[in-house]
Amino acid sequence: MADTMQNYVELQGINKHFGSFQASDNISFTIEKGKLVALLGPSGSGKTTILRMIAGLETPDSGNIVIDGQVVNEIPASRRGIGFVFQNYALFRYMTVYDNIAMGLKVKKIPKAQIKERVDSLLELVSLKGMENRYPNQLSGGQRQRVAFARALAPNPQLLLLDEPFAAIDAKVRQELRSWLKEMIGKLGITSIFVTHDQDEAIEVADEIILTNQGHIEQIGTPEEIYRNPQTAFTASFFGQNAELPDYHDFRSFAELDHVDRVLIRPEFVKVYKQDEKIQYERTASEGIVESVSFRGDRTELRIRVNDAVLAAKRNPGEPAIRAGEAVKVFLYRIFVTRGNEVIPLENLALQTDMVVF
Amino acid sequence: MMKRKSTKKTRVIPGFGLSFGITMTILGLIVIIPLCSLVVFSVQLSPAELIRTITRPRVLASYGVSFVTAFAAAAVNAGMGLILAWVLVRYRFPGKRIMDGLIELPFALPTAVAGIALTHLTTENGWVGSLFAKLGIRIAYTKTGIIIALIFIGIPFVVRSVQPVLEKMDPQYEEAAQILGFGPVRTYWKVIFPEIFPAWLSGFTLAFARCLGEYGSVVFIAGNTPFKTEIAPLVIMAQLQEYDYASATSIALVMLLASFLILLINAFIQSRASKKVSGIV
Repeated sequence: MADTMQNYVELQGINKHFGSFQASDNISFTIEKGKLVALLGPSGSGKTTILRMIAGLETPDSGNIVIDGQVVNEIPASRRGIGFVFQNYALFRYMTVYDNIAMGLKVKKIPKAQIKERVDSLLELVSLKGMENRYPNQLSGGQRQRVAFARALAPNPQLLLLDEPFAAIDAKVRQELRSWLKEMIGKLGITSIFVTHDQDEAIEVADEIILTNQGHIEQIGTPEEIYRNPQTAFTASFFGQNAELPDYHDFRSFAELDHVDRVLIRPEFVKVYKQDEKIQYERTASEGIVESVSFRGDRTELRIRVNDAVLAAKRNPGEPAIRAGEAVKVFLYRIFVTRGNEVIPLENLALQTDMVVF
Repeated sequence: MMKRKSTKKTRVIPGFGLSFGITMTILGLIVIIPLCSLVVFSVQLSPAELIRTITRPRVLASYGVSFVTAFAAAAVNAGMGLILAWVLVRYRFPGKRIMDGLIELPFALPTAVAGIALTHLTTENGWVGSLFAKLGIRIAYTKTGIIIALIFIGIPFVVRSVQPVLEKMDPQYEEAAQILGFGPVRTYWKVIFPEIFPAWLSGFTLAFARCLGEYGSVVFIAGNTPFKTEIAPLVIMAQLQEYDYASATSIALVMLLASFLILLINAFIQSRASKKVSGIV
């Protein structure tokens, strides 16, 4: 136990089929103790299957699942030392909040007084004191999720698994719960894996993201790494609100590459200027027409037609307003070029020359 | 009385007045007026006569036979129907669709046909009856026979009540129980049974109420020995054949009240269960 950065969960070459559908294709990864990890991917990418196999709700066709140094393939779900928060919480509807949380302890034949102590402290932790005699349907969505969280934590698991924990909650509460959950898991120091299809959620909450696609892993890394430096074509196209350019040679000034498949550009790589605004790289900017403007409160989202491409861009509230139909100048900082499964980030050459000058 | 939410709200079927009127007309013609006529006929007797009619020893014995056999049959159906529904929902096996279709047969078959067939099978010379006769058990012309006929009649109620609930049940409940380490017994009693209980109970009460009133299939197999295998509906029938409408209706009124009471208890328990789920306690 000298190694403090030990791997707590390890998947080794996991394969899983449902009929002819391959849900997991040679999945291998490791998760360090105490980390909060997101399994991210589009629906049908196999992320939930991975979570369910770790939990013991599905059995892999081949490969090993290791938890805390022990191969758990043959160990039933209840003895893997895990807590599981279901997508719809699966709270027992005919039991009170108290009983829901206490059930996992009663099963273990723990003395009543000890159960009460544990449940009370969990109720305090999730700030639901005074709600213990309510039934799940008398609670709000956010409260139900906290009960599900407390119920999963009650038997003191070493690994917490959460299946789309925020999917069933309305947008406003979701934001609060995300920060709450991150904070809570950080405080408890429990190794946690959650499944999500929402990139913002994964980026905001997770220490590490495992990006899945069509049953295999595309990339593993911290949110920053995976967002900034996508290693595969899928990763590059999955993150950010990408626009696709038919031909990037229309835009100055990027390095010339052959055999390009797709050219992707994110809104944050685009800078928009009004005709009368001062622009640093005048020479390399392109002319465009604003197709639509949509106000989003903290920002304005623009769609700008430049040559044959439609770019998405953002504008801050402080900057002079831009109207639909207006002619603007557009400068691209950066683009992602994909060739096969490879991604090549290209910086605008104007920026590089600039660097040399300074 | 009428709850109209807003003055102009689009409805799929136009006119609350019209649809409510049709509902009340049908209910009135088919249910309420006939039931009221029961009361009207009964009150032709003086209270003392009424009491005497409905407490004649033979009549009292027939209530006893009716209730005991109906309750026993409904109880057997409650258990059997639950297992049947479980098997039909949870397992796949060849012939499942046929088995599923067979459940409704007791509804479709004229009850007298079922009665005759069952009687034929269970007399001392019948296929089944002869086997039991060797063990000294008589089925036809005893209460056991009545119960068997009533079980046949009541099969669909519990199965068809429980089946849709089991089908809709989210498998996540059982998975949650599995991860928390519930054994199969605890999972069943704490997680699955509470979910199906309201439907199961309503299936049981419907079967019970239906069995109380069953006549056609029972008369053949019962043997109709007064004080032993004579059911209340048969006593009513006998009174009618003697043109004693007042007696017949007073006995029927007792049966009606009993059925009503059973359904009322059911409704009470149902509403308590649904309160937990709907979130208004």
